[in-house]
Formats: sequence, C-alpha cells, structure tokens
Amino acid sequence: MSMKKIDVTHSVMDRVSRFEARRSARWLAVFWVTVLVLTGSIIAFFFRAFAILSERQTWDVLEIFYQDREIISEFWQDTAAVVIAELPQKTLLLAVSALVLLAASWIITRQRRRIVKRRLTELAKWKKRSNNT
Amino acid sequence: MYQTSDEALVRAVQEGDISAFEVLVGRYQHKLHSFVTYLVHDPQAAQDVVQESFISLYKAIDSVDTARKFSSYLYSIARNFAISYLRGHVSHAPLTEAEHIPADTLPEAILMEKDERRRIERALDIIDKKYKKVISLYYFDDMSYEEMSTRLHLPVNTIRTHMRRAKDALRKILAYER
Repeated sequence: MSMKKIDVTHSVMDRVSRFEARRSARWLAVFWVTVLVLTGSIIAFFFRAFAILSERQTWDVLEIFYQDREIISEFWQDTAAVVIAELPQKTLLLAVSALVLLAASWIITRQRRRIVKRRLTELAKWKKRSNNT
Repeated sequence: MYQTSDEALVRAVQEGDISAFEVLVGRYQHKLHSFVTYLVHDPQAAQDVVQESFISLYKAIDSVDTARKFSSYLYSIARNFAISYLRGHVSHAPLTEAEHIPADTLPEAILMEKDERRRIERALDIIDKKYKKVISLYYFDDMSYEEMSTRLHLPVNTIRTHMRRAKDALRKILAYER
C-alpha cells in the first residue's frame, strides 16, 4: 500500500514556536522580576542602614579623620570599634543576604539565560524564514 | 545538519537550536506516520497524532536522555498518543471493520498489553530496590546470574535468592491487584 507523503513540519514548527515564545517570555519575566525585587531589597536595606546610622549620629565620630595624623593613628581603632558597634547588624545582614542571593541567581541562571537567548534568536530566524516562504 | 546523528540534534535542541528540531521532524515524520497509521487505521487521524507527538516531544525535550536511543523515545510517545486516540474513538468504529484487523493490532489488544505492562511497572516500583534491580538486569538487560553476580558484587546464590524473592513479591502484588 503506497502511503501519501505527509508534511507536518510547518504546522509542528508553528506550534513549537508559539509554545517556545510563551515559555521563554514567562521565564524571562520571572527572572527579571526576581532580579528587580532583590536589587530593590538591597537598595532599601542599605538605605535603611544608612538612615539608622544617621539617626544615631554615627557619622559624627568619623570627623576624627579630619584631625592631625597623630590623633588619627591614636584613635582610629576606637573610632572603628564605635562604628562597628553602632552598625544595624540585622539590616545589614538582610542586605548582604539579598546581595548574595542576587549574585547566586545570576550565576546559576547563566547557562539557562544563554539557552533562552539562543531560543529566542532561533525563533526570530524561523519566523522570518517562514514569512518569506 | 542532515548528516548529524539524532542524539546530536537533540542536544542541539536542548541548547536552544530550534532549527535542529525541524530537522528531526523532517527526518521522522513519514516513518512515524506509517507507524501510527498501522495502529489507528486512519491516515488523517495518524497525521494529527504525529503532530501531537512531536509537540509533546518538544515540550519534554530537556528531559530526553541523549544516551538512550532517540527513536525509541519518539515512538513510545506516538504509541501513547495513538492509544489515547483509540480510547476516544474505539466505540465509533463499525463492527464489520474489526473482522479484517489482525487480533494483535486490535485497540483492545494494544490497550490490554499497555495496561499489563503498566501493572508490572507499578509492582516493580513497590518491591525492594535490590530485588527490582535483579529483575531489571535479568529480564530487560538479558544478563545471566553470573554476569549479575559480577556487576552487583554479590555471590550467585544471593542473586538466585533475590530473584526468587522478587518473583514472589511481584506475584503477591499482581494477585492482590486482580
């Protein structure tokens, strides 16, 4: 029995391209929202830490660095200890954690980002080729 | 690209090269269509099944193991879709057609074989892992007891004991399910 030759390539690739466009767009959206949220958190936590230090007038102790070299060399360690003691540790810990998360997200998704970028490039090529035929 | 192996094409698709998938579709669509037509006895329906099979394959492409034969994987997907199609359409087939269909290709025969295989696979998942390993190596990889003894670093008598216990366990589970 001779079988009529089928050609489902175009219809399959059409559906594949639509599926991939949706999937890649969704992945990119989740990725960039995560990056924005983490970046916003880092900025907010550092800003809050800065504000706390300002409320406590911690920056005033840094005026020692406008003094003579002898005074600086004698008192800089005490000054540093005061600054460290007054740092809002929880806020800074949150800020650093968010920074570490952001860095980890960036590194972990590096390969996936490359693949998604390639898929979108290939999709655009296929669409162009498909429109020309 | 046309000389590239199936596994290399799958790896390319996994890396983001969608045009490699187009090559795979072109390479397998006719053979797959023939295979599915043999199952469903309707060329038009077979065409739809082939399309769905390729779409399903693409969606799962990241989990395809390139170490295993690609065509087996694709044909399994197509067979499952063909069975789903038959389940939805078998009641509409005129009875006179059934007389001319070989018994082992009847939808019911295909469904029963599939159901039986699934029952055995479920039962294998329940039994102890060491017994499952022995059964798999013996029945699916065609290994002898001596070969299994070397592979698993166990005495041959232990392998025999595992086999016996595995078969007993499977028998009990399958009997319970009936």
